[in-house]
Amino acid sequence: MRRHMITPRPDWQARAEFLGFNYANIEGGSYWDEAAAWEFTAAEVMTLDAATAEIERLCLLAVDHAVRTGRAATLGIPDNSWPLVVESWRRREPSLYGRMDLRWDGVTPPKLLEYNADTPTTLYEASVVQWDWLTAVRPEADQFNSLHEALIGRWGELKLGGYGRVHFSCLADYIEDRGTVEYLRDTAIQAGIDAPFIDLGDIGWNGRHFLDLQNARMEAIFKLYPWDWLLRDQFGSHIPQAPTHWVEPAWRLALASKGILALLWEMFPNHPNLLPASREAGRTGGEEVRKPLFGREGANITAPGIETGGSYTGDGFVFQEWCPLPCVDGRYPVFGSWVIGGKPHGLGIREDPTPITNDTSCFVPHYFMPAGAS
Amino acid sequence: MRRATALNLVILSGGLTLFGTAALVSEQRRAAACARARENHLEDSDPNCRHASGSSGSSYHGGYYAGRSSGIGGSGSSGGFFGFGESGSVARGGFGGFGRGGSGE
Repeated sequence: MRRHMITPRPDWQARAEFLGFNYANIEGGSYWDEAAAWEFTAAEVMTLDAATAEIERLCLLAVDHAVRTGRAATLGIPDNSWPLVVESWRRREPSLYGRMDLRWDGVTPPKLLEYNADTPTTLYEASVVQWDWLTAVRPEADQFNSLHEALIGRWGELKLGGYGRVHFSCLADYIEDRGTVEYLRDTAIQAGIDAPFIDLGDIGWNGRHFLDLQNARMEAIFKLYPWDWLLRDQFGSHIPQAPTHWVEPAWRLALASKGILALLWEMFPNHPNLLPASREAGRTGGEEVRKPLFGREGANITAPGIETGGSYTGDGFVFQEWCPLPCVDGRYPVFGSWVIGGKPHGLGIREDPTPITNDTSCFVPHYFMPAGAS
Repeated sequence: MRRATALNLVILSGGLTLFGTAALVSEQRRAAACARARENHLEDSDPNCRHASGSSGSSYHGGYYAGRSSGIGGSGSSGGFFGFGESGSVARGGFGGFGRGGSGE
């Protein structure tokens, strides 16, 4: 795999605007970065695909093990929230999507850094914007990206399972969250689902049901808002008694916790797609990175010579072997491998000038040459 | 191998048009579907007519739901498509207490 420096399209800003990609620029800089692109071989894409499928398999085994053996403490999930996770798993409530962040150098196997299994974003740019880039800039090439049709297909499955009407919700003031939710609404609508939007703060509770602004019962809610926050909110205690279905379901909290990294290593030691991890410091056998169990966007990370700020220090930590990202052209790439309905369906790459990916790290498009192409 | 099919290009084309104006386009779809339902006198049972803005009496915000609520909710029944008309008080603002610059990751 190779990182190429290329000339951005002169009209890329206008193109982003046309696509409704209204967070292409963030904090005074460009979030979408097409001054570079990653090229893969078909075999390398197959490697990513296979690793993602394998890690997904391990993760589901780990959740099942956690539920059967009561590993809430390892995952840092409070006792009063654990029954909701257990019940959700036992009912096999369906998942829509998730994104594994992988460390990969193209030589050694991809390694799981964390699984954004609850509230992954960077979806629209991975699914639509980089595909649009491909058709304009590398039309002869291919892309690891069937996200759009997979999302529509998955919503179609959920609809058949009774999710005919799904309220979509997030904190509407956050432009990236709202953009992600609007894109997911779009895919749901294309699958034939009735998909109104409601701000999280507008959701009502009447003592028995969650209600929308028209006081209609909310049968199913897609929420771009973490379970660990949802359960701590004022209405969180109502969730177990309400008949509402949630997307993502509550069992995804087990995977969203970085405690799952410790459980995975405990269950599958020396697996080529995992890094040593433990809830206790000093158990991995080498230098370690300390991550908050429910941190996000690179906050409160401590690694050799690195300490990032943030407010996620209250729920405990996991310690993972420090395996620095490769540095290419002064950038540290993280490979975000998307899972839709339990299957690998695409790739989004983010880069940062520091070894820790954060909420201002750039999104860089990719392509690959089909097998047999020169 | 992983490339979207020609069909996807068609879908994407529609998707690109939809995104950013998803609400508008979906409202247009719903309005058209509701109009068809009206022609068949099925507007009261067609969910599109509960959402289609611009069709009189069927505004998503207030019109149809409000009217149904007063009739059904008052009786204590939970009839209607998804149980309109919850009686009793409704508390709001119980979600969203954490923000911290967004929820995604």
